[in-house]
Amino acid sequence: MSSSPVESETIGVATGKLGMWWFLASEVTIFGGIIASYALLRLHHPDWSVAAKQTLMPAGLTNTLILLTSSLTAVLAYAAANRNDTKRSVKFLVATLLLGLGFLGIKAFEYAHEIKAGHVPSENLFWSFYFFMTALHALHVLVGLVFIAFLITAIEQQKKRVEYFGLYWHLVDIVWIFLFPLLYLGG
Amino acid sequence: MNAQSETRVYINIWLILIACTLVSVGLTSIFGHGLILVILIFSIAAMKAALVASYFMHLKFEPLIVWIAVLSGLAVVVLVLVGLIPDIVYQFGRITS
Repeated sequence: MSSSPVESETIGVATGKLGMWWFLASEVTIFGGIIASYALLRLHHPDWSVAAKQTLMPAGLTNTLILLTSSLTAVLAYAAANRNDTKRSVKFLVATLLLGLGFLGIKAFEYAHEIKAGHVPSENLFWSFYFFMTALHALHVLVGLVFIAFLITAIEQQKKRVEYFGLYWHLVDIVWIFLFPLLYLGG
Repeated sequence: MNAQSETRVYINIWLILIACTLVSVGLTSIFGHGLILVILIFSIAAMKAALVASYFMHLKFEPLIVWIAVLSGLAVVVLVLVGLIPDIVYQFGRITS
């Protein structure tokens, strides 16, 4: 019998990690499907480039740099946990948490600015996609932050889960890597 | 790989990701729009995603079973894309731009 479900392995990979990869694959289908729909509809709507110019590009760029940096801190937290350096791992997890909070703060500022300017999901299809895709992404960031808070409170028992958290967080980063040019760089 | 060189690899990848982002923004500011620019910007985005997956998620070191999971997800996205084309062409007519 294995010591714990997290530690047991099948086909050369920990079952917890394999489960996380399958979960991420399902996330790829969700975001990929939405992005594919957006891209195909965009081909019929050259006017979306005008709408996309009204999104706050500097805020989007800042958030891109924040998420890329948070991916670095997440992988450094994993590397430290892997070497049993708990203190350093927690330090990088806290940095990731703060960067994630920064991302959500900027996103909230953007929403307030856009809604004040009269851009709401019902305005047209571009803004429907914009609010839906970014809100769904922000929800994933929020879930990631809860995940980090959970890890930090009991890091000694969950070193392995730092890796699983990292996998999830990097996928959230990858989704944003595509959302940024789609929604901010001319639609 | 020791801790220092591992950290150096991650920082180098992060620097490349930041540089690619700034190049994308710079290209958009200079050239504005156009099909070649769109292809270029999304090629850069795909390269960034590949770097994150390969180095930060360590996908390049994972066994076949993990690749099967990832490729299954991507295959569904391709199916959705192909499945949507007839609907969009029917609704909006010929693809215009």
